[in-house]
Amino acid sequence: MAYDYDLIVIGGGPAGYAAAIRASQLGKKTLCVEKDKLGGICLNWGCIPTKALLTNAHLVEMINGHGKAFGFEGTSKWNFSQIIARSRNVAGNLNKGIEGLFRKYKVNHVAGVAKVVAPHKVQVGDKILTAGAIIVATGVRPRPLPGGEFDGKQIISYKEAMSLPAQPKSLLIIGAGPIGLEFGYFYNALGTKVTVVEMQDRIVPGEDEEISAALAASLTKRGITILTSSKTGKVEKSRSGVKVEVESPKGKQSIEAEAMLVAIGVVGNVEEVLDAKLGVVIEKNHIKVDKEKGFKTNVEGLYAVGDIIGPPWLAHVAHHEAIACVETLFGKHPRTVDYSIIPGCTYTVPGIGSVGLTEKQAKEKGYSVRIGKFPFIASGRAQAADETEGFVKLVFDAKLGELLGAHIIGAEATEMISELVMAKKLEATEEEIMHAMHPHPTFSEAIMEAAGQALGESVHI
Amino acid sequence: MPIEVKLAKVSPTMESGSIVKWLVKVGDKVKEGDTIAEVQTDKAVMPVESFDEGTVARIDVAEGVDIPLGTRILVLAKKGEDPKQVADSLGSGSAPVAAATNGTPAPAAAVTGAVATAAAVVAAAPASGRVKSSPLARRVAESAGVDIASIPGTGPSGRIVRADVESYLASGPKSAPSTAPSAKPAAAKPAPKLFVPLGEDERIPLDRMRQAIARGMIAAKTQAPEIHVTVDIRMDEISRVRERLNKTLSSEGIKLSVGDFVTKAVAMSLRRHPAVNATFQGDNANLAQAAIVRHAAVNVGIAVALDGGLIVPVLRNADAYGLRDIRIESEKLYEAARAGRLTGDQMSGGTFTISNLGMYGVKQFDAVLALPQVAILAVAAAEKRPIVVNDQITVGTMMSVTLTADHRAVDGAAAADFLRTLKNFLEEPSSMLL
Repeated sequence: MAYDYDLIVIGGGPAGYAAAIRASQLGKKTLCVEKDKLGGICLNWGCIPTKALLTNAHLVEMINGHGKAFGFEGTSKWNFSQIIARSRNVAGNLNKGIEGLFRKYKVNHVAGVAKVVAPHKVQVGDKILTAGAIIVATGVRPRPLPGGEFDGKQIISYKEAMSLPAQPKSLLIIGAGPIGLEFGYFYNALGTKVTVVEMQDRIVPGEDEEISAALAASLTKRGITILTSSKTGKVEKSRSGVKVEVESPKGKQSIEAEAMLVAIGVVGNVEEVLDAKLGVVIEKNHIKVDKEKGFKTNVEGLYAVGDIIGPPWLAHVAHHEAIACVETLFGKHPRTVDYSIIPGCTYTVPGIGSVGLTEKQAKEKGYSVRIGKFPFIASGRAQAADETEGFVKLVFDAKLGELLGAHIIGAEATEMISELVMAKKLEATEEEIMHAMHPHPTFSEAIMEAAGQALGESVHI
Repeated sequence: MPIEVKLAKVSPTMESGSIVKWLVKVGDKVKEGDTIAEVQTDKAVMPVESFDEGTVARIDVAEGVDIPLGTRILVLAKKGEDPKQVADSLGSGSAPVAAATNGTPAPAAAVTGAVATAAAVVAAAPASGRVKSSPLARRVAESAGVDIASIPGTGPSGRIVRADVESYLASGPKSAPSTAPSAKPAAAKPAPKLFVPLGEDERIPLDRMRQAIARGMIAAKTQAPEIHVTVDIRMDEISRVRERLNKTLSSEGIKLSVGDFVTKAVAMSLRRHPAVNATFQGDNANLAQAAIVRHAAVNVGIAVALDGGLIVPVLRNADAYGLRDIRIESEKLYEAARAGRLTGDQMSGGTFTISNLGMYGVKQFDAVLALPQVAILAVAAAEKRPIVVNDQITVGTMMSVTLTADHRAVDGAAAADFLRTLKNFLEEPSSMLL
């Protein structure tokens, strides 16, 4: 039986659109079904528009905080709705870019809701379409706080947080992961009173402990209140905002704010896209796939990639999974994703860029580690930019010199981490990193110096 | 710091070796220059000398086990160090191939220095130069004492990555006995034999020397376009000179061979024809980077047949020797070759090779190049043939020699020109004095 399409991709986010374009490049007749805008959360409601906001916040912070030293005089003013409008414009432009790519690569695109009703069969509207392979890439949605369901006004998710009609005077943020902290930084920089509540004992718990501590110190200095090892209790809504009970090591307290942003994780969009009769194995709200075998589900011809298959819920991971899945299906060679080299970025100021094992994880794995650390205060470039917060921390295996992990906190951390991703990918040791000539003066020199520190050969500290 | 002695390259084509016999045991005191072991390479059994002084603290490798280059074979405790403590601190004696500890490269056994410089000039070098590998893969290989070049790579363009080294190590040491079990099925069934069999097919796996020869010959025939140029040389005058000189030398018990005269004449001809005393350095795939290296020294390799193979000891600076010393030095080399006791120095650095089958009475033959050398001379027997002299047929002692040249480096005219000089020297020996 001939299928209508070689491939139907459900979802047009970083996983879905990449899968559709790559399959089309490989000569396959491809359809991508997306119920909302192309680009997914990343482009429309995540990575990109938030970076627009954060750049804005940093600008405000630089002028307000450092303006005098840089020779600015007088007072600066900004317009909150213009800040939001600019961010929406950036998302809108990129969204059109993907439509263009679809046209260029002749990917068929339908706006609508799709459901896999049987193996090789997808229902779109009232039509049943068939395909040799189906890739589900419908992503995730915010996990609600028990006892505090989203209402879009007082109890909000990231989506509302980046498109509020007016700047709140106070904001309570539940969850101190990258999303919670990025909004915390943004609103704090604009003058909102921000409180962040985190259940674990430190903020950005996925990062190296020293990084968490440094970021906590830095954000606290900027005026954010951070409560770790703290749980939320009763949530009360009023006309003026929310009142939340918080149990911290210091005892119970009640925190009031105009709005509460809940950023405690995500759940997979699995219900709408899969007919229950299919019997697709779902684990903790995510589709279970075989990552070693082209992201196959337990149903014949059905694949899933991206956030919907579980953590770390990162756009770049989703993209690589999509490409690996499609190339395994239609390309020359089966491909897998190397999950040991996933960079992670947090775009606060100072920001975080990291890859590989933290010092603690490395030790738990039995490595004898050698640490190389270099602070930006010793960097000429950082001094010139007046961005001297943070450091580069490299974790090496003492025996072989393998780069086990890299952790950067600082103004340019998110840009700098790529060098160390490449170093890890190419299996560089501390010697190559140290002896690769880094341009002067740059923030990146700190990486070379940190490797030198690990070897005991750094000249500048 | 105790001294870690590792298996070093003692023959140019060597990739691994095995200790045939340990000549020291734990607790023995060793002086610099002492022979500590005999190692079987692809070419021969060679002595391993100590470069340092100390007490043998531990021996890492059992006799007869094939080990890759760079594997630590022995640890010496220096003066003032307790050998027992050193042995304890430097690795537990697990497998026969103990993992070498990392750190500074240990002083190598035997003649690494000499070989390192000579390696580029020596026959049958591996076809491709650079081994693509990740820094981490190299460190893992080094710490396990494995030569990374022997590991197949799975990265882009065959780059060796850490996983390759680890899977190689996990697949177990490549042990020496390559004799396939199928080679001796008869032993398994001691069935009564009614007849004495006329003979059974014998399957002989390639030993190290055979492998080295095969590799060298394949490389020459696949990489170098050859040209062959033959001349006949009248040897009557040489015969007369030889007779006279041998009378003089008889009191010393020295007897010059025709081959010694050929060696002398070849060495002197090479001095006049540097284009033939050369090596081709580079890769056919990248000729823009290739070069012809004309060598300052005239180092003549002389092929010696051995039981089951051949070896090419090198007479260094052959053009500087008189006939008497050529005889004495050649004799030394032949003896060492037959005894399998050539040193790395004596087997490397050749800039030209002579292959002489004259003693087998052959009329003419072609030799195969010993890459990267650009030429080799095949010397046949000196025999009486009818020749034409001044339009008269007469009897002359004639010898045919054939020069095989690598046409990438040497053109026909250059080859012929070299042979003309050689012919003149041998036909009129006194001209060598000019």
